[in-house]
Amino acid sequence: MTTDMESMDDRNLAGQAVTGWAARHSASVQEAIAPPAGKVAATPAALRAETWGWFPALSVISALGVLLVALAYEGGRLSASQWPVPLFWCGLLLLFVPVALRLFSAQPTRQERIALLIVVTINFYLTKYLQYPLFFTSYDEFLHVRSAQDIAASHHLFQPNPLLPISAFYPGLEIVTNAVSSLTGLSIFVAGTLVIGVATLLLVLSLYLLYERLSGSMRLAGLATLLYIANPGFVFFDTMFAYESLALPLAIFVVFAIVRRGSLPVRGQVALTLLIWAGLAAVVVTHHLTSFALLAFLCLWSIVSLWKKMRARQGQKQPIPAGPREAALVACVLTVLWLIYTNWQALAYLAPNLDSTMNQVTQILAHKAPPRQLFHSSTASAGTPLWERIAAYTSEICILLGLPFGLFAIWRRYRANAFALAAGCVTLVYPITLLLHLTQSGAELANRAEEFLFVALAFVLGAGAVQVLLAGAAGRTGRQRLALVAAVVVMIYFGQMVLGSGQPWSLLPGPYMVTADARSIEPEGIGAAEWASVYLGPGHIVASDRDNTLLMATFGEQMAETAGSANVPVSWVLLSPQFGSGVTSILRQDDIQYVVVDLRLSTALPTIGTYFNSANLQPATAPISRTALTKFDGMQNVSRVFDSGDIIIYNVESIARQPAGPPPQHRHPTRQFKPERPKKLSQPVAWVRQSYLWDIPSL
Amino acid sequence: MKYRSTDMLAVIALTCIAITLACTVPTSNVAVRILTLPLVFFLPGYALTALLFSEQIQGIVERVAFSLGSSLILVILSGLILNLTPSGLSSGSWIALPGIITLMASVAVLLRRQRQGQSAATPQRVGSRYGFTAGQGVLLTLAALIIGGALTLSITGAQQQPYPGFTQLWMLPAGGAQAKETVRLGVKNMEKTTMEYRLVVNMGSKTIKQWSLLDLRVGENWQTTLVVPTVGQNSPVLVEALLYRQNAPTTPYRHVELWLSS
Repeated sequence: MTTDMESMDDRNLAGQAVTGWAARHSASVQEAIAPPAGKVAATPAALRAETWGWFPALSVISALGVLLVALAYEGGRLSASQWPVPLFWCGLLLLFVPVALRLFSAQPTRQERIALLIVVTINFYLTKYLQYPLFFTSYDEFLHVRSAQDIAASHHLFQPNPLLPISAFYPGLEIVTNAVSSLTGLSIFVAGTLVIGVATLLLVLSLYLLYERLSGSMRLAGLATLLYIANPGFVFFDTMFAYESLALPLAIFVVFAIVRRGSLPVRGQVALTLLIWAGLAAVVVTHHLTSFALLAFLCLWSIVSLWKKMRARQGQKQPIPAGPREAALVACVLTVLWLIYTNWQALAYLAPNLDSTMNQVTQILAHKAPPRQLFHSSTASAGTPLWERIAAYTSEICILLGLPFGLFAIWRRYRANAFALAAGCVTLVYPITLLLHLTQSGAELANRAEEFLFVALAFVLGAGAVQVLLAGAAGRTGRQRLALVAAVVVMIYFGQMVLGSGQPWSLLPGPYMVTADARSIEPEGIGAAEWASVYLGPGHIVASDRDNTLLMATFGEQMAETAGSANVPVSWVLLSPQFGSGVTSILRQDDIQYVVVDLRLSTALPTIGTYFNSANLQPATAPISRTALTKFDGMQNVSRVFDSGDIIIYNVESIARQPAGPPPQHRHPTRQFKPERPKKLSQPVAWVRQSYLWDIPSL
Repeated sequence: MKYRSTDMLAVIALTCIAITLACTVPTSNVAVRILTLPLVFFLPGYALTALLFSEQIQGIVERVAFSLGSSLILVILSGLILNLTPSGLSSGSWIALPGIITLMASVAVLLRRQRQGQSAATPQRVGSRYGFTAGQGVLLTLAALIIGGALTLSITGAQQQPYPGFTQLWMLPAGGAQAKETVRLGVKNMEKTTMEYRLVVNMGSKTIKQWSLLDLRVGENWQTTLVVPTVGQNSPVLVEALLYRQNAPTTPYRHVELWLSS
């Protein structure tokens, strides 16, 4: 297995020759402290300069990238114009590209590579933090903030979460946040930001160490880790305060520990096995999807390992490292036990999405439905610019073209390693996930899968890139190859960033937009929610639109009804043009005490497509009418208790607690609202009527 | 001492400091309490790793990764255990469990090293290589300053982001036995400037109370309690509050209403 290429690539590994995979496993810590072969550092200063190489200078350049991004964010806050957008992309390029170019080189020491990766990781994390540095604003973050608040208030886990009921049963992230917050007195926002920051650091360190131990090459490890960082989920999803952001680093740490265990003496193996089992338990109670993905990979790895063992018995004398069979078994047992303990709620939560994806795929294959149009926005927002589409397509093409090179390199250099082969198998799933983007439900599934797939994909692509870099001789050809690989990696990175950044309006902070998640979180909504917390007290049942539901459930500490938690979807309470029996019926069935109305919903279509947080609602085709939103005014026994201009809070408790009967009467017959008969029902209204509200009389 | 365990002595010292701070300093003093952070992120994992397989760990990076990973795992599993106790996940229990585990593991490592008479495996004499030259130090300081500038820019920018101002008006029944005849009223000025308001409270068609000038600075909150005339025996009665701006005295700016039942 030893080749000249490997020797060249690994010349910094303590200056020792690498003699196959087993030898690479025993790569000593000396690599961290030994100078590159053939060079003798004369003085401590020269030694330090050599150790850190370009790290200090590249830190400055990368920091300038962060500053450009911060300026772009500031530009977004101060004006609605588009000039900050190019600044944002320039910042992201400056943050990544110079470091990437350095990591392609064979020159840097191990310390320099790791230091550069840490700098890039911290700076990427900062770019996410700087966008909204005062409080959590992403939709998913609010869901977990509520769980963290519940634990802080009750000191116990598994409190009902109206926003995301399943999150209460996977409390790993909230536990660590609670520990930080309780010990330091920091707010949940700061504590959560620190937890995710540490988890991200753990992710990158574990990935680097994993790749390095697998390949024995610090160059490949650095490149593969960099490619992982380039995955769209890393910057835009896994830095959010959400359970996967902690579970994924823990899962990769566990995988690294399993790989690491293979090179330990028996006594060390026993101790590390205990840690691995504990790690598996931590992953299982932190995030369902990550635990399923980890279990699936451990099973695949075990199968490949068994296959290799069987082949070894048939003739090969090469010793096979211990596989992850017992870890897979423990992961399986723990996952099933936790599913039983939580009453299989995770499966009930995930199954509808899988089912919907399968149905849509079937319909497309049967030509019963057209495939989803890529980069097409059915919402109020502007579509994706052409250059972004080109960048995204180019990135995917580069990955697909790079895969065969990577798989060839894996087979040629690492086929003795069951993990590397399993990783190669995993990458074959990637093209399938791209096809899933052609379905509405599958696109979400594919996006969520990328964070996991890129762990294998980055290693395979990194192996291919190093193979290409080392295939030619030094000199002009070598430089051309380096330029080619650098260009491909930068294109992959840039395209993936474009893909992960979402719609152009979500790129930068800015003025309020109707139902645009982070862009809809602003002082008036927060003020109304805080008022509810102080003056109404926590725990009332509240109905509202998507964003005010989030605010009421977190800042307001109310039991805000969602599609998942309500007995009947509450959207009709706001959509209905009049206060009829349908609205009354929902108020009673869901025991709603307060309705929070945001009059701004009548000014524009929802930017994300729907005003409410139900996955089943079709995109809105017309703004909610103002008369529908103000229908509560003047109704008998409906108190208008709060008014801040755009946001009105109504107390409907008297209606909800009345026995079933006719809807309340308007107290001023002369002012009673008489709606015009609509020419055509909007899609959400029609859907709600068909699905749930059989008792609403025809308009 | 024939053996060197500077690392474990440091872990014990830091753990004791963290426990002392957590027990004595109020949570409102975040600047001091933040020194307890290593008790969550690093110290338990470091001590456990040293106890279980310290000799096998190679290099600082691997040790840091194991310390971070083990700490997070330990804290998560500790949380599940603490949930079973009556006090649950409270500040006191978070001091106790990770703190005690860290101290016990550290003492066990110290005793083992003393028994074996071996040197601490962790700290390697690599200081000369891991230090920075003056030029490198200047560049890294510059990078830190730039990051600091970016942080300052974003935080102040977010705090001062221009949003439309607004005024909150609210009315709720007073709690307790007086709920049927007393209401609470409040106005909060969240506009961009000091505001002058007029507040009128009506019951039916009759004005029962009026505040002709409410002068509120930015962020100022005004509240009052108002006793309304006795509510009738049979039907609920509507109390209405209208808030006017002094510069637009005829157009209601905010409007709330409350049904008081008998």
